[in-house]
Amino acid sequence: MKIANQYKIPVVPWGGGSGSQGGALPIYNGIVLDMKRMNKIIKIDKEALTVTAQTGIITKHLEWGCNKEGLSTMHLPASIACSTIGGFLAHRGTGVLSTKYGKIEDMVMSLEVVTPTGEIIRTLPVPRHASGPDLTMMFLGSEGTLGVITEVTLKIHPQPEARKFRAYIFKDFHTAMQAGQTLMRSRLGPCAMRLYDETETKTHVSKVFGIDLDKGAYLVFGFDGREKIVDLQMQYAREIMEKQFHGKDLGSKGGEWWWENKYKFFYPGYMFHVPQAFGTLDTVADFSHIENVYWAMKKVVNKEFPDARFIGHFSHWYDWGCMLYARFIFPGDKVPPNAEEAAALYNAVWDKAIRAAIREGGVINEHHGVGLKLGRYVKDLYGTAMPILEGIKAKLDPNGIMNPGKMGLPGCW
Amino acid sequence: MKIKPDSYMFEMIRTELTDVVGEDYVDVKFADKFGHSIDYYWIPEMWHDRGRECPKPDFVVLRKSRAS
Repeated sequence: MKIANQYKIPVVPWGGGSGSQGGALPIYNGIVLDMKRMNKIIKIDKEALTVTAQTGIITKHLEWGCNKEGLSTMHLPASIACSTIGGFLAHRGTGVLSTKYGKIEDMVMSLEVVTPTGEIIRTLPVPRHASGPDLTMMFLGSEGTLGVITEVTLKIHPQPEARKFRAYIFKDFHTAMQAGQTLMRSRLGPCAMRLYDETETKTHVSKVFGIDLDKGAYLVFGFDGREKIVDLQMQYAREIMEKQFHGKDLGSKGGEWWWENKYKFFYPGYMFHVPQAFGTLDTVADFSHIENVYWAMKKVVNKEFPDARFIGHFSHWYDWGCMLYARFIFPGDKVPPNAEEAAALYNAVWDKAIRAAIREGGVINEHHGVGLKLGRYVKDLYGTAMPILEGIKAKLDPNGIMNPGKMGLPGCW
Repeated sequence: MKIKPDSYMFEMIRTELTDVVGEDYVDVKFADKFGHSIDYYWIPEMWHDRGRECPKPDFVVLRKSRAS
């Protein structure tokens, strides 16, 4: 870092290279700092239930290391086999158990960071304190623009005695959304919940499961922990689903289909690929706004881009709202062969859909990050707070060497 | 980067980097640079699919520890 800062060479940290936002692309050349040799588990503390690791470790390897001690990070993303834990920290990533165990930012105790000028700093050792502003949170999600996160201490957990799932088909997406929200407001504490709209249930969930599901919206949820408690939680949740919202019960089997196939959705044959043009328009909003965000994004994509298909599911649920994993897909024969025209079409979808999300109370992203793709919307989102972000960047990275051109922040290139 | 790859200054920086992390851990081979020019973002993948060139790093540096 000191060499790069002296000669004013761009530095782009690189983890697994699995990001979808162009956050690790060396758009101004320079140095790519590939972190995968910094892959050691430094310590598992069985008293505090924490793990300290270098950030270039592949997430699956970190999980396996914890599993050997009967423990788990509970951070189980679809890209677990190919992404580094540093990539998740840099982009505020998430895993399938986020509803109980949180996104990555909820799991972090402390960080070690190398600043753009080459100083090695540590954030405070614990996340709950009244000892000033939280520098840990400032670096989480900074996508390599403020420094390189080199070490992390994460909370870890004992493996649960039981983890049980159940699924339902609701007559439509709106009813399923109301059922999901009611479950969250009940504070029963599911470990995961996912709701697929009617289109994605029909075209995607059925295909992945290899089962022709009934018409409607598929909702799955689960609980984990001590088995007797899990059974009681499930009993109360079933009352909400069946008595209040009249969901068609697919039983525990219908829930297990999802858990067993949770990563298969992203495997070849089930995932989209070039020559198709596709993107994940993920966003998050509170329960008062999330349905409006969904309809606004769907309406604008359907109206402005009739060649594209719009599908969506809600995959990370919180006490106050949930995340929309909306996607658009153009068939390959509807994508211009000319690269500039294809890029223009692609960017136009993002312009319309992301601005629709912001207007309805959403944000530009929930867990993939900003990167190059969404940088131009950061000013729209932050408004008059944008100079604060720019000021932090200027103070920490006076020569603008760190990941220039990303997150809508200035660099010197 | 403002320094041209065929300049002596490029080699000066490369050797300064290898002095810190070792000769084997500063890659300037085309394959290594190419592998770090495309991630899972659709635009660079499409760009490559259309036979166009994506920006590549000048150096791929693989560190083993955070301190020199």
